[in-house]
Amino acid sequence: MINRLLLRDVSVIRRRQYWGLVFVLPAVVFFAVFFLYPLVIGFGLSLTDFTLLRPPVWVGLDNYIDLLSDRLFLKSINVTLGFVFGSTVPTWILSLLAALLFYQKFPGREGLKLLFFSPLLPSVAVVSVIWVVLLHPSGILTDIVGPLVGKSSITWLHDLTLSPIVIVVARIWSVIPFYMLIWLAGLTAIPQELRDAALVDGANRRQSFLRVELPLLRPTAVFVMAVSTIAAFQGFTLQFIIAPNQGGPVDVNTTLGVVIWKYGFQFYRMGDAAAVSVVLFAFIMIVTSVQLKLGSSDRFSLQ
Amino acid sequence: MKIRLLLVLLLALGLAGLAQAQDPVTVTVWMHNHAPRVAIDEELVAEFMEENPDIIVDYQVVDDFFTALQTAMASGAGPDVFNQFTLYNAQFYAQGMLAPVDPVAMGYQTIEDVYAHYGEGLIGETVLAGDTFNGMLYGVPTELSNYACYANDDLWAEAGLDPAMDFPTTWEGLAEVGEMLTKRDENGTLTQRGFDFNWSANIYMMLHFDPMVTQLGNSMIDEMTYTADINNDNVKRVMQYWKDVVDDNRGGPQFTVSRNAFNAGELATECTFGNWGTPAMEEAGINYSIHNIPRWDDAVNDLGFATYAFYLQVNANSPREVQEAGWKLIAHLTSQPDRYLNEAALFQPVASYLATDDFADNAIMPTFLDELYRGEYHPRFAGFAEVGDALGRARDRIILGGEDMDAVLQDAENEVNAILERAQADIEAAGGA
Repeated sequence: MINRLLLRDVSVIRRRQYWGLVFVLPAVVFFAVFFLYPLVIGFGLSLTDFTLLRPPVWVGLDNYIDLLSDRLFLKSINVTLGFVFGSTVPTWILSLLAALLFYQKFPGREGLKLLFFSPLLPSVAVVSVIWVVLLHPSGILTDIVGPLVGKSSITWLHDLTLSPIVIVVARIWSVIPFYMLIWLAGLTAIPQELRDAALVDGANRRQSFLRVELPLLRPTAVFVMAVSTIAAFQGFTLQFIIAPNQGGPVDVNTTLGVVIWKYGFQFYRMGDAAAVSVVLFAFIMIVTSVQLKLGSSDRFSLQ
Repeated sequence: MKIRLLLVLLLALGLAGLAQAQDPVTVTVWMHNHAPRVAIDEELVAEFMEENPDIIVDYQVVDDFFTALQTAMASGAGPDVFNQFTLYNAQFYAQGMLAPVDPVAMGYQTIEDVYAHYGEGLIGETVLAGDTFNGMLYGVPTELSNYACYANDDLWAEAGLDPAMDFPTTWEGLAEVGEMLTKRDENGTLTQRGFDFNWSANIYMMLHFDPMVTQLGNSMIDEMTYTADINNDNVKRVMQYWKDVVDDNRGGPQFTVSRNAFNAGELATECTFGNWGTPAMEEAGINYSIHNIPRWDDAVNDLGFATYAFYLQVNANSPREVQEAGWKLIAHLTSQPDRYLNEAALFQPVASYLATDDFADNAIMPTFLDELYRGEYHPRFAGFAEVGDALGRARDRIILGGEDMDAVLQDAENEVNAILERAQADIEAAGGA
């Protein structure tokens, strides 16, 4: 009897498993066709000399070896890391602060939230064009900052030092609202009872945040850190549109994404472009894995 | 009986051959998108198919044209007829992808007749040099462009200058006049530029900067030997001229792109518009006049900025009968230069058209024609965009980064030579010319 019941349970579970597979099949097929297949093909291309002048020729790891002495690639690693660190850390902090602000109840909060959210609505290309106008040497930003530094004209985008900073600022401005929403969702998910309990125990608002809310925001933090880092590593559109001559001047804004575009679609060096793509993929995988590992502790969790 | 059977078989084969001969030939055509030209193309293609019922034309306007064409040609799936930028012609030629012009299929008797169609003697050779390799012609121009200087007559008049009289013929003169036309506010901020270069794309280093070098001697790139000579006195002199524009606070890459600034009335003189620039100027209400590109006062070569063009070409890998049909179609597509100029602002410099009253009435073209006949195409070699990128970087290192010119130009020379070496190796590995 028991055996029969067990067998029936196993059969039900198997049927459910089949149905589960059926339900996830479209997503699996979609992933395989649009992600896995290009990934494999891209890796394959990275092992070839493919210049669009002729069919790909197998060269093994030559493209990767060449990258070790490729001036533009090596420079783009520095540029990309600068962009990633410069744009992600301030984004995490500022978006969290914005979320804390909007978590409070105050008159006009919803309207202000809508305004704050507005940079997310247009595409990055449109945002980039807006920044190009703002950053004209005698544009609005110069009108504001110029008097403070005693300059009537500031070459925001053509100064080799200033240009990457400006791109980072534009990036932070455009992505903060998105991450603010994620933090806000995380804050909302924390039961109010926990905050109340902390207050009853004598904690002030700051202590309640640091000792109760922040630890419970760990899953949200891991998500924000991982997603924002991946997106920053893939930085391309701002550098392509805002920076002079796509990644300039003198390549100070040439991220790995820009190198891939240049090698692939400007210079028609598809094998090299594919190799850079694989390296970028590896970078992202490593950094994200480390972030997920560091954030995987369940010491603080509502689960 | 056997003889009868043989006769039947021969008749059947003959009929089959006849049927095959009457099968229409399909010619696939790829063109880049330019709406005013596409409208004329489509009309001419319809006309052509009506006149040639044995030829079907599959006319396609292709987005992301250069990449799509390059990829398709490399994979053997390219179109039979296509228009291609001279910047990339050398690569296609080297790959053996271009079929030589078939004068008979185009309705001429000899190839000399094709050259003569674009001008007698040297003129025809100059016009068609953009697609002539090793003495062989591989296409005819559907859009030929070169540059001239445009003066904003109102801004010149405000400065007490008359472009008709005062427009300088030398770069040295343009620097002086440019300063006279430049306006700055009390803080020294530019409010109006007198003259500025077009800094917006690195390929302009080959189309604008390199011709200034060539005026003084040789081009930076030798397209025959695939070598570069960049760290020399002529390049340094031109680079210094460009640098002075920035150092003297007369212009630079940080300002609105020169063409846009000219049409906004913020730049008095612009030298990188083609004849196609006038509709936008007229729409913007700019009162303009057109002048030759300046030369150095000690120039050894009398030429302006580089000529460039789109050429209609035929895929060398297409079947013979398709190639012939393609050349026939190309002859038809280039038979109405007046319409292309008047309706799409695209110049096809056919000699017979240049002799018409319609062309004589065109007030814009004489300067461009003069520059075309005296000038030359940009150097044609594989790796054009990459070399332009390297040269643009060198320019910015010197002008924006303040680095030592000698060291930077040497770096650039090494980098460009490496690019050219790799491009040539690619061509040789692919079995090209």
